[in-house]
Amino acid sequence: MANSKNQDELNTATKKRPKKEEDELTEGEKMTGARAVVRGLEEQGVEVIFGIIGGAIMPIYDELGKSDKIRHITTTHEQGAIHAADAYARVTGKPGVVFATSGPGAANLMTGVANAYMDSSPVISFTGQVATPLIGQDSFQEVDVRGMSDPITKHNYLVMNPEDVPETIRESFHLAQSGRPGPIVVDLPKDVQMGEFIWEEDSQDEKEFEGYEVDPEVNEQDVEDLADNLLLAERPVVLIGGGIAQAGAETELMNVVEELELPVASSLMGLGCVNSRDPHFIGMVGMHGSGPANKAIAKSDLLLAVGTRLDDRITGNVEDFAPNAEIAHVDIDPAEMGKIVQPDFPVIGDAKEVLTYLHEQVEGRGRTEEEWWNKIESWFEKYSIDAKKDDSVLKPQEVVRVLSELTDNNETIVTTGVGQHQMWAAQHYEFTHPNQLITSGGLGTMGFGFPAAIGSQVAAPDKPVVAVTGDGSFQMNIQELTTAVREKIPITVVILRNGSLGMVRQWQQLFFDNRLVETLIDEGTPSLAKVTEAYGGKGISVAEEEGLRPALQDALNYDRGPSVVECFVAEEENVFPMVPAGAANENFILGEDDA
Amino acid sequence: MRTSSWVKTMPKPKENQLHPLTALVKNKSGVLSRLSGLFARRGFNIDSLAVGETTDPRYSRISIIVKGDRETLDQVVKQLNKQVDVISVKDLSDRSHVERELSLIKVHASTENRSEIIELADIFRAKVADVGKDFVIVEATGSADKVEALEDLLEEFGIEEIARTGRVVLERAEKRKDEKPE
Repeated sequence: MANSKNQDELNTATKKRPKKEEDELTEGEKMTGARAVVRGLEEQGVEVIFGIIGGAIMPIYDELGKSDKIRHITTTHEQGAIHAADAYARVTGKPGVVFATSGPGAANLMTGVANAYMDSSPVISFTGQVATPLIGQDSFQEVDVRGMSDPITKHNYLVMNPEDVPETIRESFHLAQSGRPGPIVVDLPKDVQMGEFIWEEDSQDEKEFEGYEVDPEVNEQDVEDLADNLLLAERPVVLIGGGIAQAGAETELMNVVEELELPVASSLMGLGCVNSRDPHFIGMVGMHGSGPANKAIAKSDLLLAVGTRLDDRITGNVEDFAPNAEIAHVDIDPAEMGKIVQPDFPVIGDAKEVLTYLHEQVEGRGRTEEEWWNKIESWFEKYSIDAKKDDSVLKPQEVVRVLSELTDNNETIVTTGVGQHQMWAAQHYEFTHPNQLITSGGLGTMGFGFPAAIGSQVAAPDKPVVAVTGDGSFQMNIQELTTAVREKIPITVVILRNGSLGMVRQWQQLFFDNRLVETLIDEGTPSLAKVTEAYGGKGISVAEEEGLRPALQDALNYDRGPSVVECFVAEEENVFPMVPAGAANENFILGEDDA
Repeated sequence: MRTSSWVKTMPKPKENQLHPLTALVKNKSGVLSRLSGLFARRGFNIDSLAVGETTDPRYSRISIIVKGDRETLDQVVKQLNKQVDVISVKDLSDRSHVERELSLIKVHASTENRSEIIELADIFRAKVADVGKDFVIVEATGSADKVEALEDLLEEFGIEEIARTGRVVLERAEKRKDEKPE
C-alpha cells in the first residue's frame, strides 16, 4: 500500500514527541493541536469558516465536527472559499477564516491570499501540512506553503509544536486586524495537529509585539501644517481610498469636507465612503474615472489623499499626476509615503484620528472658493458618461442603472468580478455607504464576485446581496453554484454577457489595431440561466430592455437560493472615459472616435 | 539597434550610492528567506548581506549594504520595518560606524614566491591561514576597500578561489561631535 509508509512515519512522529512529566500537569487541560485550533478560533469569536476538507487537515475537521459554535461552509473549490472569507471580512470588519488541506488545497488558496493582500483584507487561512518528518521529501500533497505565501501575506507561520498553536492563533488574529490589515497563513503539519500538550489559561490579553507598531501616534504638527496649507489652497481636492472604510472614518471625513466645502474624488476601493449623491462627490478617479474627478485632480493646487496607496490605476503617468498640486498623503502604513508619489505633507496615522484632528484645526476658518466649484460644474456638463440610448439593444450601463434603482435601499451589497462589468458597476451604481461595493481592486481577480457574494450574504444575512459579473468572470468560479444551492444562500447574480473577455478586447480594439486575439468566448459558453437551473438555482435570461426590470425584480425576490439573471448586452460596448496606459489622467478619451 | 518605445518611459537611472543598514530580527527559521525575498521582489539592489546570532539567541543581527539613492533607501528601511519579525532597523549612512569584511583568498604559490605573498599579506595585516604545496590561503579582515586592494595585488600570483563574508556593520559606541542625537 502506497500509504502505509507515510502512516508508519506519522505514528512514529507522534510517539517521538516528548511527553511532559505527569507531575507537571498541575494546571491546564490536555489536548491535541487540532482541538487547540478549534478552541482558539472559538476563543476569538469565529462564527463561520469557509473551506474544503482533505487528508492533511482531517484531525482539525474532526474537532470542528464537535463544535456547535462554528458554522462551516464547504465550497466547491478552495478559491471560492477564500474569496468568500475575504468578502466576509470586508463586510463584518472581523477576520475571515479559511480551512484547506496541504499541497493542492493550499496552492488553490494562493490567488485569494494575494487578492486579500493587495486589498488589505484580514483573512486567516489554516492549511494542513504533511507530518514534520515528511517535510522536505516531496511527500504526497506536500508544498512549501510558508515559502509560497511569503510575498503575499502580512505574516505567516509553519507551526512545529502543538503547544505553539494557542499563541499562534492569538498572534494571527491580532496581526490580521491591527494597523494596516492583511492576510495571515498558518501551516499546520498533521503530527502537530495530532500531538498532545497542556493548554494553559494564560496571556489571553492582547499580545504586544516587539518591533510591531499597531497604531502609529499621529504627529499633531504634521496635521497642523496640512490644515494651514489646505486653508491656503485655491483649488483643493480630496482623494479617498479604501482606508476610509477600514478606519470607519466616513463621518470624520464628511465633517472636514462639509466644513471646507471640498470636492471629493474616490478610488475604486473608496466608493461608497462618500454618498455618490452628495454634492461634494465628483466621481471615481483614474483609468476609468469620471471626467470631473480626473480634471479636478489635474488642475488642483492641493491634493489631500486619504487611505489610498495611489497605485498606477489611480495615478496614470506618475509624472503627470496632480502636476500643479502640493500633495498631502494620509496613511496608516509609513511605507506608502513616497512609494509612488513623494508627498509634500506626509501624515502617518489612522484616518479617523487624523481627520478628527484636522477638522478641529480647520473649523470656522474658511471654505472653498465658488470659482473652483464653478469650474468643476462645467466639467460635469462637458464630460457626461450617460450612454447613448438605443432601444434595439440592451446596454450594460443601463442594466447597472436599473439594478441600482431597484436596490435603492441603502443596504444592498454589490460584489463584482474584474473587467468591463466591474467598471460599469463602479461608474453607474449609486453607492451610498462604505463597504457596499466588495470588489477585487489591487489584484484584479476575475471570478471574485460570485464567491464574494456568498461570503457577503453569510456576513450580513439581512441585507440583499447582488453580484454584478461578466460571462468570463462568472465562469471562473461558476462551480460555487453548488455551495450557494446547498447552503440556500439567497444572492442574485447579474451577468453582463457580451461573449468576450471585454476589457482585453477593448484594449485590442484601441491599442492593437483591432486584432481580436483569443478574446471572443461566446462559442462554447452555455446558457448560464439553464446551467443555474441545472444546479438547482433560479435562472433567467433577458436580451431586451423591455424584459429587464421584471427579470431583475423576479431574481431579487427569489429567496430560496441563488438566482442568476443572464443579460445579453450589446457586445461591442466599451468602457469610457478611459485613460490610455502611460498617458496623463486628464487626457482621457470619451469614446472610440476619440482614440 | 532599435529602441522600443517603453525604454523612454523607464525611470531615470538612480545614483548608486552604498548605504549600510543594521537590523535586529527574530532568530527564527524563515526570517532570512522572507527578507531576501522582499529585496528581490521589490527590486532593491543589495550589495551585501550578512547574518549572525546576537548575545541573546532569540535575535539575529543583519548587516545590509543597499545600493541606490535616498528614496530607495527610505523604502528599504520602511519595508523592513513593516516585517513582523524585524525588531528595528537603523540606517548608518550618516552615523559613525565600524565596517568589516573577512575574505579567504586561495593564491597560487610556489616555493619561490611564497615569501613574497606572505610579506604582502603582512603589509595588509592579513594572516596566512593555510599553506600547501601549490597554494596559500590568505585571511584578510578590514574595510571592503582594504580587502579589495589586497585582492588586486594577489591577482598577480593567480587567485584560485575566494570566499567573502560580506560586510558586517555596527554603530560606534561614541558618537561624533557633529552627529545628531537619535
